[in-house]
Amino acid sequence: MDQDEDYKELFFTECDELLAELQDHLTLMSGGEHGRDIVDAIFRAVHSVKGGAAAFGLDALTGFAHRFEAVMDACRAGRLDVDDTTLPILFRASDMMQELVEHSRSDAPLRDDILQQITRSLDGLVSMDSEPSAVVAADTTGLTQPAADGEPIVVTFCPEPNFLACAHDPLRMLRGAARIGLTEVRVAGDLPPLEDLDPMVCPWIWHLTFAQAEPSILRDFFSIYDLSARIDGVPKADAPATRALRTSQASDAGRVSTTGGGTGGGYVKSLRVPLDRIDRIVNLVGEIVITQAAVAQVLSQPRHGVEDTLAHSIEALSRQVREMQDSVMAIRAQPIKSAFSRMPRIVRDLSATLEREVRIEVSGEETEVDTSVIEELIEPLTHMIRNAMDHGIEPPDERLAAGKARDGLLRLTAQHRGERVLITLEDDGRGLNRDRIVDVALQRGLIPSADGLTAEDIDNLIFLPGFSTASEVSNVSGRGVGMDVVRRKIQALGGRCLIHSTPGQGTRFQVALPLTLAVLEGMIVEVGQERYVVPLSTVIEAVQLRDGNVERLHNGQFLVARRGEYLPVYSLADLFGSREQTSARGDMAIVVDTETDGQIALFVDALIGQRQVVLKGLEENYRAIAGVSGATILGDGRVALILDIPSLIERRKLRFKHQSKHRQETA
Amino acid sequence: MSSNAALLEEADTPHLTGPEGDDTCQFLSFVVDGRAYGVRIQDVREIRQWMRTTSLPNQPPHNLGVLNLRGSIVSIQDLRIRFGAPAPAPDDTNVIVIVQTEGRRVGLLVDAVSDILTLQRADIQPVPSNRGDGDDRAMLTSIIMAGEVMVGIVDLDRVMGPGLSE
Repeated sequence: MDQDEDYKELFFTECDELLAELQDHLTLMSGGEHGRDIVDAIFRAVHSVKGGAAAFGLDALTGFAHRFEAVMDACRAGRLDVDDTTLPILFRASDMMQELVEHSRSDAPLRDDILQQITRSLDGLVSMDSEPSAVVAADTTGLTQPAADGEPIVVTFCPEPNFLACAHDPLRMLRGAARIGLTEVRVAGDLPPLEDLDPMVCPWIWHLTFAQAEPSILRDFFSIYDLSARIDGVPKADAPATRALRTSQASDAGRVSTTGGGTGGGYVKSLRVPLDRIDRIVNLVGEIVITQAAVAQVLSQPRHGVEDTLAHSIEALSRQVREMQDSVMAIRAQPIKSAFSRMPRIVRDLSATLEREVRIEVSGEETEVDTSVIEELIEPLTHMIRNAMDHGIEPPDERLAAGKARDGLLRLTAQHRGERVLITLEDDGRGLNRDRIVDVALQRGLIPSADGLTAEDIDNLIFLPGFSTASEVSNVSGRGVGMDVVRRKIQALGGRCLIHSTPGQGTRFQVALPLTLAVLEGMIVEVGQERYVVPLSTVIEAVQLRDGNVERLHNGQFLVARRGEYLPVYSLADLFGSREQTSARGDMAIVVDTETDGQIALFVDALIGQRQVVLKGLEENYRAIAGVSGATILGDGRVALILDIPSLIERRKLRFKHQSKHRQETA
Repeated sequence: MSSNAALLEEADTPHLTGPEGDDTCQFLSFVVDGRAYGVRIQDVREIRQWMRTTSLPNQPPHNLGVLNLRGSIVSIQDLRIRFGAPAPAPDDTNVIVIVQTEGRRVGLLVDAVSDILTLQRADIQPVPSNRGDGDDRAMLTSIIMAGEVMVGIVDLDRVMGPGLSE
């Protein structure tokens, strides 16, 4: 049973790949490529899903895939043109198939009405096609069909070259079949010209329809032809699951199967990794073992003059270890495609709900990012798209009136930028309505006044918690969450969000993320007796504090003058709300960009240096702590906390608010 | 460690069953502020001397911070503060008992470890409730009589669980 479940999970993983392939080819098709190979590829993908689904008894999925396949077969045979009417149906069908797969996998909700609607559309396409045998023909490639009660079973009987030599007789076979419920026979194939005729080879293929037949009887009947004919369509007994599993040829690049993503969750995650990446690690481990042996040998020799050799070996060792770390990280790196490929479907779904006409262009899908980042990215990305479609892109009429193309354009791109990946979502909608943003922010008390706010400041207001411009909470970008959730999520991933909007022309969101969540490039600082890690991406510079550039306000807040502006300086003791060893001498500070509160400075005693640190969560044995995004273990074995300065400042403000409220109440 | 793994399996069985499944069970007893307390032996991972921890922000006083336990990060709770005792800064004479329940590890700072007690299940008594839901009682699952001494069995879920602060 367990093994069955394993196979099933493997099948779903494979489905993910097949569906991604399907999407890709449909996208190519919509780009105007109608080549035979593309149609074939789509057919094959649908067909493979159907085959597996049938083996696992997933009837709804099998039935739907069967209809889809029939349509693709009609396209393949040239009976159906791929045009503007068929393509949207094909896309919707592919989305539906995904939904069915998710439904079978994890009981994700299934929209039955939409399933019916798309099924009808698909059937509509095939019935337009005059050739009645289309549905049957779809089966010639061979697979098991679900034998629902009362439904006719179509068996395809294709004799092998040895058929006649095995003393079988087609006529006897047909007569025998007639006795067990054969109702219709169609024959395909033609007799070759006399001079080419090989009397020992049977040139025909039969499609045998059994209106009502017991599957077990059919199985018994056809089993005698097993070795001399290809027989498809006989319902399997308790279909052994293994049949469905084609040993999937390692797909082009390591494709991720984020089995945890999306609606489901809770199953074991797996990765498919190109072999050469693993080989690289195996080789490195070999090298390290050798170097380690060399070090041991040097140490065992008499102790004079070994330092040089030793230093040399250790240098090699550290290089190899570093390389190995990179290689291990590369195993986890996957193309961002698995997150991006979900987006077109979301756009199509939303287009219908929101009555927008939107195209999405995706590029840079091959950009590689750590799998953990990819999984975490889907949710904020989805939300950004929803937001752009709900608030950015106008309804078609409004667009036409504004002199724009009827359908809006969303452009989603990914690219590497140093140690980060930059994800951009652009729309060509109406841009942010700054007047309205200011109104809402004032109304909700998010800002005291609009004085002195630059356009950029105003745009950034939409990231504030409690901000949502949609007057009524729609179930699209609604669910009561706003862009603040997106930003919080991105920040939790160690990333940053930027927004740029041009009224009337569109909005551009940019998200910069670290390539991995497992290691972090950090600045190690010393404060009091402790060492802390500050994510390097947020550190701007270090400043020496002298009497000349530090000021102290009447309330005790320190300010530092830096190139003509004052930045607030915080002490870690203050941010931590603690009494002890976290107070610094106060002669040095680092400037940190918090995004939420602009740049601030933090008292430190010393900069220890930049280092890659391995992130460890506090949740594992304790719980997550606001203000600390994790911890790491330093070279000397001590624990250093990784500071999340924006959230520390947020918390300090809250504390402050409480205190002043308390003071007011007691006064 | 490997023999502990087997004990860990047992830890999921209902409260206070002995590792052999018979009528005896074993406790590690220790001293906090002159009183005897104990934890089920199968919850104990290791015992180590006090070492300096890294303190965490915005934590209640009984959280002494975290330390590195062979690569995993474990938080340390000061049982002296939990039981309302005076708590001078810990030093080398203090001991950390590392316990594990429900897959989570936590260190308990105590004054000293005393003994391993083997008891009949019948010796285990509920905490008398005449004091109402006092804080002291809320941290114990039961009490046992070990000779002349009363030993309070620490409720690890309470000690480790939420509601520690905020």
